[in-house]
Amino acid sequence: MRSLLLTVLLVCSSLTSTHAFAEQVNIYSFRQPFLIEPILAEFSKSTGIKTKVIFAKKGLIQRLKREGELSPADIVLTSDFSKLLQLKEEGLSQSFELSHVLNTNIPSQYRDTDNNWLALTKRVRNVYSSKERMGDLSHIRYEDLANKEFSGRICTRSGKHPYNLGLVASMIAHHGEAETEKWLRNVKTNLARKPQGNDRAQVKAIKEGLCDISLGNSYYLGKMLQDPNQVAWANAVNLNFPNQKDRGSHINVSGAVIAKYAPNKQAAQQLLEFLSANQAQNLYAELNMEYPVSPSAKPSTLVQSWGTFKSDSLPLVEIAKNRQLALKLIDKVHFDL
Amino acid sequence: MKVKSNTSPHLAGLIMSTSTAIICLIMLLPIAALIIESTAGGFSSIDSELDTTFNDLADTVLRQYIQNSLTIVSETLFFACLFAIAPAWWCAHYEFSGRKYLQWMMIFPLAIPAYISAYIYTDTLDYAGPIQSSLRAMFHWQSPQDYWFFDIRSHWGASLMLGLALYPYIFLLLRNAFEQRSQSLIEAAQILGASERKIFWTIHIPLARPALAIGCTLVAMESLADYGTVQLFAINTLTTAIYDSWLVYGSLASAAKISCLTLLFVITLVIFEKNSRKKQRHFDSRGGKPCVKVKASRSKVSFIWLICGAIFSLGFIIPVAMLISYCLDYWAANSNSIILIHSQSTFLLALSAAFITVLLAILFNSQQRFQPTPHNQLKLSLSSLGYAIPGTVLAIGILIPLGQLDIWSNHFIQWLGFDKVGLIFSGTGFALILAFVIRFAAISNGSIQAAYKQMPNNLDDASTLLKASKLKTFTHIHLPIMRPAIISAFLLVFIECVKELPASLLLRPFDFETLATYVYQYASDEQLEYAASAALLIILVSLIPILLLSRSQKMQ
Repeated sequence: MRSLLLTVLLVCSSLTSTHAFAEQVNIYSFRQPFLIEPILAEFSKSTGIKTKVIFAKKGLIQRLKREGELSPADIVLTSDFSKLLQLKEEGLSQSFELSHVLNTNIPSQYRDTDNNWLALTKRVRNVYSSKERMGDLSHIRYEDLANKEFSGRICTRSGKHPYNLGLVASMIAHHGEAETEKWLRNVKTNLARKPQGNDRAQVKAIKEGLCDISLGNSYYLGKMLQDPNQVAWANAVNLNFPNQKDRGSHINVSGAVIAKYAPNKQAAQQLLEFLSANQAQNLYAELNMEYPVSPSAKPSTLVQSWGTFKSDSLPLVEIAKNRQLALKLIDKVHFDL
Repeated sequence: MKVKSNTSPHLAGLIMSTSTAIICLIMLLPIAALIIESTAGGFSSIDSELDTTFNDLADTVLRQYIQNSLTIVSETLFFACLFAIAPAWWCAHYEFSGRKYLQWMMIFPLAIPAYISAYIYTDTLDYAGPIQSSLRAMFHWQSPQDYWFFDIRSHWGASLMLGLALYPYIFLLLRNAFEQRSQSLIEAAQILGASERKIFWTIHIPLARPALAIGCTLVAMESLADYGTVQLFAINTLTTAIYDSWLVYGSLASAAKISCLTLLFVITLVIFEKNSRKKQRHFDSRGGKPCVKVKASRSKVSFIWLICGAIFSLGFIIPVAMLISYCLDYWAANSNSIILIHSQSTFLLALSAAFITVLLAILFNSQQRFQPTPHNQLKLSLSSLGYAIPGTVLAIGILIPLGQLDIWSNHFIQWLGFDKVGLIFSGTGFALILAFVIRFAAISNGSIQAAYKQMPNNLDDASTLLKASKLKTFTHIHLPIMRPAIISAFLLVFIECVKELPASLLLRPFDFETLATYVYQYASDEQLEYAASAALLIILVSLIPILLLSRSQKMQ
């Protein structure tokens, strides 16, 4: 009994928080640690600043909000742009210093006008298609997914996933609510199965012949090619960049903000600059197959082999305005049910 | 604290009653905070008057979500009862070779988080999985239209997974109840010529009903609050609606309304269950001689092993074997020594939380035993509510009051002239342990409540007649009788804490990882294969107390 009590006390005391510690930067991350750890390790190596990460996919913004001015968070890393905007809107971010490094590395359309957020990598919402059954789809447009010819041939993950939500919001931005609703309804009827799994699972389903086309971010193709058990899935599909003849493909970004009450703002600024510089941008490209935002960094050789593409030039902020509406439409057409 | 004079029992009672009231209030704090926050329109980005999220959901998908939730809960209950009742009876009633092992083996599936076995089964059984792929290759089928196969990503599949993961609750509670069955009643029934079947349905089942009811309530609450599993099966339930409202739509008010709907459902369930056995009373059911186990015939033994073996394989062997094969396939990623450190912290955390939770359950239940007032009953029921709330929601509910407490204490400390101390409550293991205690109180409360319900009141009366103090009655009579129940409660809570994901994910301090949160970073990207060894360690850590206990045979 006594030893148990002692254990309880020990555990409680061993879990104490880290707060305002010199030469350290605390990160709240929506991205999985294994994706960013190699990059953070390089940062620590070159600056001597330690990094600490808490990862969750849900609720981090709420945690940040509750912690208020006592929050230990310095940086929040997100995997889509709506969270970046939400952090700014809710007053949870502060402006970074637009240093020469950031100014040259991050093009202006990929950072906030008030310098509250910046993008670090770009990800394209591609259309994957079966090599065997679909032929050349390089001309495809997102709009075409509603066509009758694709009836029972499309697979996708949940409509409410940030990547699909972003796409639907961009459709609203370009075509308006009514037109998008009609489009969504038709895409829904074209689905081979109800939305499920992640982007890889759709490619796997194409390989197995369950469907012929799917929506997915491009870096998954690179990741699957690296995995001996998934390489066959990747080899079964073509990667298409939609809307090349008109507005260009929809892109989403991963990005970062400095938390409003960051105890280590200086270190946080240093980390942002490091993440925007060539070394980190190239690591993002090589390890995660993402497109770097910095014009001087290049995508990995594999990603370059997929060709260049035109991306939708509509500002992310304009697209994000339609996010709530996009959600409502997805529920309205029972997309996930 | 030996109570001797006439006035001090009152004082002791008062202290007990006040302290349980305070604990109960603390346990309700997160729920209260959420309700207050939502009615005050706390979410800054949305004007509460313009917030139509709830109505929008109600107009579109909510009806379907409610229907899905009800389906999942009832089907999960069906499967859990199917897997639990007969084996519990066999283990309690019959003596056969290997019984001692079997009664522990049947609890093993509890050690596997439902989202892990769900991942494994969906991965294996869905259209693109190895089984259907090889069937197609074998019979030259081309498309899903060419043949029929059980659709794992359906409500049946999800319920089956949840049933397999949750049936041990019912099994454990029911087996304890059956073990305490009355020899004299059986003999009386036999003398009157009742068949074995009739004795089972008219004596054993009614006597074990409190345990069965509590087990079913736990399973229902757990399946209602589940998010990870149903999401994997692409089934939208009320929990989905809560998460969507809050974390996607950004409307706390709507999330709170739907949470209240869920709570209402749970409360109705509990009241319905209580009312249905209101007239039942338990008097001394213990015979003079200890209950004897019947020797099972050879064919019966094979039958028992066949059925229990099948349940055990589905619930434990297959998932573990799959994890081992993932582990070997992706050995480089899986041979990461950091997970040993995570196992240690997970173990200590679960140990502390389970200890506190069981202690509180004993406190609440013994108080209700000695003073069975509606007031005490209310405290007991309210302290169990946390189980019905999805983990992430509970975690944020905990952050609200703890964050405030942190702000006050920092102000106070600064006022005293010291430096800020930071988040000493919400940013430390304190928040995590509090979350576990609130979330899993229902399990330990249930287990101990079932034991008390079966403990005849005349034992207490006898003790009172002999002028024993309440404390003495408790330590000399209640505790020894409840021992199996206390051990089960501890086990169940410990295992739940090891597996717990959403609250751990959100409340953990920097540099603190449990095995579950480590597995999640891969599982969330549908790459469980890369964290298979950590998933195996979750199972191993959960099994440690079961193995230790079975070894010392304390529950025999």
